[in-house]
Amino acid sequence: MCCQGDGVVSVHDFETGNPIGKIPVGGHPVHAHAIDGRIFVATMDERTLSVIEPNGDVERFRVGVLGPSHFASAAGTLFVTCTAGDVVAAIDPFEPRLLARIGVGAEPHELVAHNNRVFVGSRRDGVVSVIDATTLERCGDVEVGADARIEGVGIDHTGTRGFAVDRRGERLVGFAPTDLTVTGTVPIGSDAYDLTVADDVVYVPAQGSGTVHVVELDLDDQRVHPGFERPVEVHEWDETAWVVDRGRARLESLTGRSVEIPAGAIHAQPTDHGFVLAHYDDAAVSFVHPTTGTVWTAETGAYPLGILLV
Amino acid sequence: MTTDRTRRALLAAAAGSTVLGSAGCVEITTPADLARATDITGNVSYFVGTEWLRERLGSVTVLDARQERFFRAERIYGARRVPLGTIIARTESNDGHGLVPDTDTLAAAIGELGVAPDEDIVVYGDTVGARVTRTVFVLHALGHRGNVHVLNGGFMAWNGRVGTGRASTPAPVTYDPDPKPDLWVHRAWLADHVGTFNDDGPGLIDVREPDAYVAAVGSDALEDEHARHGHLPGAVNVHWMGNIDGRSLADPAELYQRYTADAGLTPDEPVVVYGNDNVDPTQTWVTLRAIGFDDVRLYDGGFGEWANQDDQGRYPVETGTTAVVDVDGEIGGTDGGDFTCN
Repeated sequence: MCCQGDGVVSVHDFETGNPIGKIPVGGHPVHAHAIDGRIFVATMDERTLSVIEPNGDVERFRVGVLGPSHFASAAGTLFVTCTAGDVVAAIDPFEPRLLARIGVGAEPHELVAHNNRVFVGSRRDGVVSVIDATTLERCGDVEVGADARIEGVGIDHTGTRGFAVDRRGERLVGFAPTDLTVTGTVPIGSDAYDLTVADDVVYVPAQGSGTVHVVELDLDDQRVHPGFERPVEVHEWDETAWVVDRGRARLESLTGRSVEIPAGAIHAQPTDHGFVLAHYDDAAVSFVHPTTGTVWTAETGAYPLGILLV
Repeated sequence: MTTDRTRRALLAAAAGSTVLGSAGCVEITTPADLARATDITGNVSYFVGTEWLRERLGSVTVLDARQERFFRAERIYGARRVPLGTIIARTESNDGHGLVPDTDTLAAAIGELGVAPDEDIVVYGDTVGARVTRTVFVLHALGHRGNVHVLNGGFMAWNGRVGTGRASTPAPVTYDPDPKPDLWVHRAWLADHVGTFNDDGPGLIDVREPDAYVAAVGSDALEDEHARHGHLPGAVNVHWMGNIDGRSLADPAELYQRYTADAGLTPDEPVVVYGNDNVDPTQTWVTLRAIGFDDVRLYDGGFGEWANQDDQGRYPVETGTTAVVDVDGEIGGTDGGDFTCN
């Protein structure tokens, strides 16, 4: 668990939740990514990345720009957004070392890789910048709108449809990943910052309005599910869409099922046996089965966010 | 025509500054009071008071950094005017590393003023603002061998002999520069240090308005000609106007506290200052040297150069930081940051 408030990664036994230890990694760790036995930790309050080596040693190396936050991997290269700046850092995960910084729309945040290209949403410039993962060059931008604050970004499994959540504009924007044009938009609720692209639909939870939007891939239609408190993520599990709600100690499905959980959660990591949940506001992590309920709960450092299973 | 006369205007202004106290007492501020207020005590270099200059008038070269109309109206007797437009020249470095001071052009400009490299200089303006300090920087950049001082309090505090009207043109000299490139940095040097500033590398101070530093959307502080907004990664923002209190240097002890404890700089380690251009940041360049920083360097290209580089990865900007040291400085007179090249 990346514990943003304590600058540590909290390590737990997956079977029991028992704490194994805490690894200091630097300011505001938010997300982690494992490659080749190494764990890369994005420390958002630093201009460096932390790397936890297989033997537990922590190395740090400079990316140069503040705010490493989200990871994506493509063409053997690890990419991390520097959210306080206007670049994505490209990392050789095997050395590890900084290969390049690539200019993108300012305040890049979420990113997704597909077919050796990386799509990066800008919170400030209203673009989704596209990086060629083989040449490490920016090959274009999708112009979403000057006032757009882009948060979640996703590509469907066919690679023919891209999606971006415009949090400020309260809309889901579709784009063509190949010619980088906007193909359509659909209104969504307020304060949305994430999306999940499934086989047939896009799920967009809008925490401000307490709604979950289920949008057809071609953006022609959507179903709105109201009644949530602060929905932040949706995950398909066992052919059911489950909603992670930060304001409610309950995991609820869009089909009406629900299960009690220890506290509201900000992030979930699906596994074959259920969900690992980050209880950001309660400094805890839990493992929950959608049918049988909570398997275990454990304390973490302050403000746990990113979850990594290794 | 040049006229010798006393500071009639200053006397009139002083007479008008009478303040009635609440108990009926009367306080009168005299020109001598104003002059005394410019005295600098303690371990502060560069800045001298009017008494210091009065005792040396005639033996030092006095440079007036104000706009021409103010110079013509009234000036320190014998002063020569430095047109701002002549001392901001910069050029692309020979190795393509970015803009640096054009020392040949700058030397020619100083030579036009009849200033030789070994003369002791006092520079004054309306205040101790950036017009004055740019002149000081240029002299140092050229390797000036004489002492260089700044008149604290600016012209309004001067209570000695004055001149007015058109000044006689000094005989130009050939100013043979001895450039000091360790006083400035170029774009490539900064790019090589990205990620280290105010950490394990040099200090870096952004002297611009906080709105420009944080790239506040819609702010007038954002320059239209900049392709990007924000600041160099790791820079701490300390607005240069906070170095000035009225027309004088702000309290040196407070300045020292601000730049060390608040901004986190170390006086015996290198510090780079930058602004949008190469004028305003020289105020901080001089101030830091005045209060004891050993190695202060100017980024002559400024944010205007950095922000317009195509290679965004090598020249990144940050927006999502708020390392702003609040200052409440104010600047009097007409030397504000909104200067014109005349």
